Order: sequence, then C-alpha cells, then structure tokens
Amino acid sequence: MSSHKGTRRLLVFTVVMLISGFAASALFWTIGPSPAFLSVQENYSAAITAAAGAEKGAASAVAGQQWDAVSRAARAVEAHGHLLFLCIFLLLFTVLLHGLEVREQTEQRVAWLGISGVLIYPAGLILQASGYILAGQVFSAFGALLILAFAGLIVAGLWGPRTGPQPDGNDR
Amino acid sequence: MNNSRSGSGVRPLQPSERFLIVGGFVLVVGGLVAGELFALLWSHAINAELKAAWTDVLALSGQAATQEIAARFEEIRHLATERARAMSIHSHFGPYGLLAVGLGVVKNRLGHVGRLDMPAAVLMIGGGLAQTLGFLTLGYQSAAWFSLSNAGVALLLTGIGLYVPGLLSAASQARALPQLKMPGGWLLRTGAALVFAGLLFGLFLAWRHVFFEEPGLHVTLLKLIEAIRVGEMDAANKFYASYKSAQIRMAITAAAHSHAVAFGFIMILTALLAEHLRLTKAWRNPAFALIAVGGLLLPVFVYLAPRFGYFYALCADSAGGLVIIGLLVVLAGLRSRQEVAP
Repeated sequence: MSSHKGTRRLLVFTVVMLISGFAASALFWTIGPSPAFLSVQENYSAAITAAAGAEKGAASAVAGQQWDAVSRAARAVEAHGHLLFLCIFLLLFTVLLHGLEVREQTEQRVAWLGISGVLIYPAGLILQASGYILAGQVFSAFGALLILAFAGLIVAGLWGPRTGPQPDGNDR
Repeated sequence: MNNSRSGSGVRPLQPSERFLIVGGFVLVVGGLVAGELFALLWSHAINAELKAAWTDVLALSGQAATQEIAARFEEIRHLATERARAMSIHSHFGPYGLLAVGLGVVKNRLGHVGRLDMPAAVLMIGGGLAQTLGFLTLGYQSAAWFSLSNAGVALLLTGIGLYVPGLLSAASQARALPQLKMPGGWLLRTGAALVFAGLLFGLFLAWRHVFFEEPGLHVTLLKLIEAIRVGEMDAANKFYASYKSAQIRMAITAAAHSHAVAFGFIMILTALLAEHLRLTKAWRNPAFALIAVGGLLLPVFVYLAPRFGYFYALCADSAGGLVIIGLLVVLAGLRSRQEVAP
C-alpha cells in the first residue's frame, strides 16, 4: 500500500496556496495595484493634457511612465487572479493524482513538479510587478512549464489504459 | 466525521458538506449569470460610452482645451470604475464558488474541524457572497464599499483558516481522498483535459503577449501622444482606434484562457459529485453533456468573438447558458439523498 507522500506534500502546498492566494494576495491587491490603477488614470490624463498643451518632451515622458505603471499593475492583477485559481487547481489535481494507481515514486515526482510550478509561476509574476521584468519572465515561464508538465502527466494518466476512472456499477 | 453509507453504497453528504457544495455551486452559477448579464447588457454600452469620451478627449486636445479634457477624464474614470466593479463581481464569484465546492468534495476526509464544521462552511459562503456583493456598493473609493468587501474577505479567510488544520491533518495521515470510480468519469477526464488545454493556451498567450502585443501597444501609445502633440488629429484618432481594439482583443483572448480552466474545474467537481446526485441517468447524462458541450465551446467562441464579430459573442453567451442550465439540474440533484436511500 502506497503511503501517498506525494499526496501529502500536495495537500500541504494547497494550504500554502490557500493562505498566499487569499490573505497575501488580498493585502497585496489593496496596497499595490488598486492605487496604481488610479495613478494610471492620472498619468493618461497628464500625458494627453501635456500633449494638448504642446509641452515638448513632457508628453512622451509621462506616456512612458504611464506605460510602466500599466504593465506593473497588469502583472499584479495577473498574480492575484492566478494565485486564486492555482489553489483550486492544486486541490483538484491532488484528488486526481491520488486517484491514479501509480507507484509511490512516480506520485512523488509528479507532486514535486506541481509544487515547484505553483510556487515559481506566481513568484515570476510578482517579480515582474515589482519591476524585475526579465527575471520575472524567466521565473514565470519556467513555472508555467512545470505546471503544464504536472497537469499533462495527470491528464495522460486519466486518459491512459486501466488507470482512468471506471464505472463502479452504481450508474443509476 | 460520519462515514456511514446509505443503502445504495454511497455515503450521504453531511449538512456542512452539502452547504459548501450547494452554496459553492450557487456562487458559480451566480458568477456565470453575472457574466452573461455583463456581456449582454453592460459591456457594449459602457465600451461605447468610453469610446465616445476618448474621442472627445482627442478632439479637445486638438484645441488645447485642458479643462474640458480633465472633465472627460473624470467621466472615463467613472465609467472604467463601473466596468471594473461589474467584472469583479463576475470574476470573484466563480473562484470562491469553485473553492467551496472543492473543499466540500474533500471535506469528509479532513480532521480537526469538529463543532466548527458548519460555521466554517457558513463563513466561507457568506464571506464570498459579502465580498463579491461589496463591489456593488457605492463608489470605488467609498468607505462602504471598502468595509463590506473587506469584511467579506475577513469572513472568508476565517472560514478557510478553520479548514487549514484539517487539510494539514489529512496530509499528515494521508487519508484516502475521493476515488475516481464514479458515474460520469468521462466528464472528469474531459474537464482535466480542458484544464490542460487552457493552461497550454495560457502559455502561448503569455509568449505572444510579452513579445509581440505589449511592445506593439506601447509603440501605438507613443504614436498617439505624438500625433496629439503635433496636432495631427486624424492620425491620433486612427492610433487611438488601433490602441483600443488591440487592448480589447488581448483582454477577451485572456478570457478564453481563464474560462477554459474554470469550466474544466467545474466539470471535474461535477463528476466527483456524480454519486451524490439524486438524478436518474435520463437527467444526469444530459446535464453533464450540457456542461461539457457548453464548457468546451465557450472558450472557443470567446476567442473567435473579437476576431470575427458579434455572432461568435452570441454563440459564447449561448454556450454559457448551456453550462448554467446543466449546473441548475445538478443543483436540483443535490437535494438530501437520505430521502431516496432504500
């Protein structure tokens, strides 16, 4: 009988994602992007007003600032949304992985893919939102690949021969 | 924890499990209905008003009328806030509902919740509802909005916090999670595949977004500002139209990714609950089929809508309607199972 260490680890990380997805993200949202969006609106206004007044240099400078603010706020919103969805993703795919009759070692390896992915991917988005664009892009791309590998292996297990869900004779 | 089984071999749902699952599905359906209403009634109207306000800004900037420009920007801020609030209701109902159903599905395997079982479920559903409806109150920066919405978050977090020891306990004991042998296994497999496809599309989207669309938008914005500065208003209008249409296309394409993943989750959760549904095959299979067909088609039509026009937007709304009908049948089937146990 398998001891399901992979399932255990995934459940613990589901808790981590629940806490970070809701508590930290909610705080981050209130403190960070929400005021940032207001300043984005002000920057739009300033850029076009400066352009309308034909203030050379000022318009393009403010437009540049506006662009940076938009990009960072957008990444912060993405981090918020993805954290919420990743905790649901981890909870459901833990159930699916647990239901597959695979070897303990395989389950653990697949679980590590998922755990690494759901930590690295949002970290990349948060790095981008904080202004570390290139590092954040590398992190989030790597995290996304790990999440895809985790989900892909479980989906392959579900659709593969014998290991997928079978009717239990209670199909009323 | 009650693990007794009914005569049909299926463990009846505990009241708190039923509350989480039914309440969660109600939130999910509420989110879908809010999304449909937003798409059909508000989205196009608000976007048209926003476009008119921006067009005014461009026209006024040619006359260097800075005070009038400021007034139009105030109008744009108000409209954008209205749109964001409507979207927040749609986008927050769904994840909260999905999480509640997910916890309801695994809850009977958790420990250490005890007497706080039902209060935790009520806090989660009530908190999610309060936080989401908080978006409806007054203005974006108002104290009422802030208080109701944040109180909802606090309730939700407390409810989730009560489940954390249970989840950790389940992890330490490695109790068996729900098994995958259930009627409607095809829906579970389809849902898992849809989640995977949605994730894959998301990766592709991010690549295109970062390397092509965002730099393109930036260039268009700079051209727009420069056209205003030199007083070429025809060119400014052209760049503005290009900028806004690219923004809208990117936002709707991202929605195709998020809807594929969310509908995949709905399919998995519905399949995991199949044994608890008080539905005959004649009702259950069509309901599952509606959820699957609607869930598979909606992201495709959402992707096509900004590229090929309103017909596909209407198709997307219709596909969402199929999912709502399927979920309502599932909700009806979640009535107390003890009534039918032999």
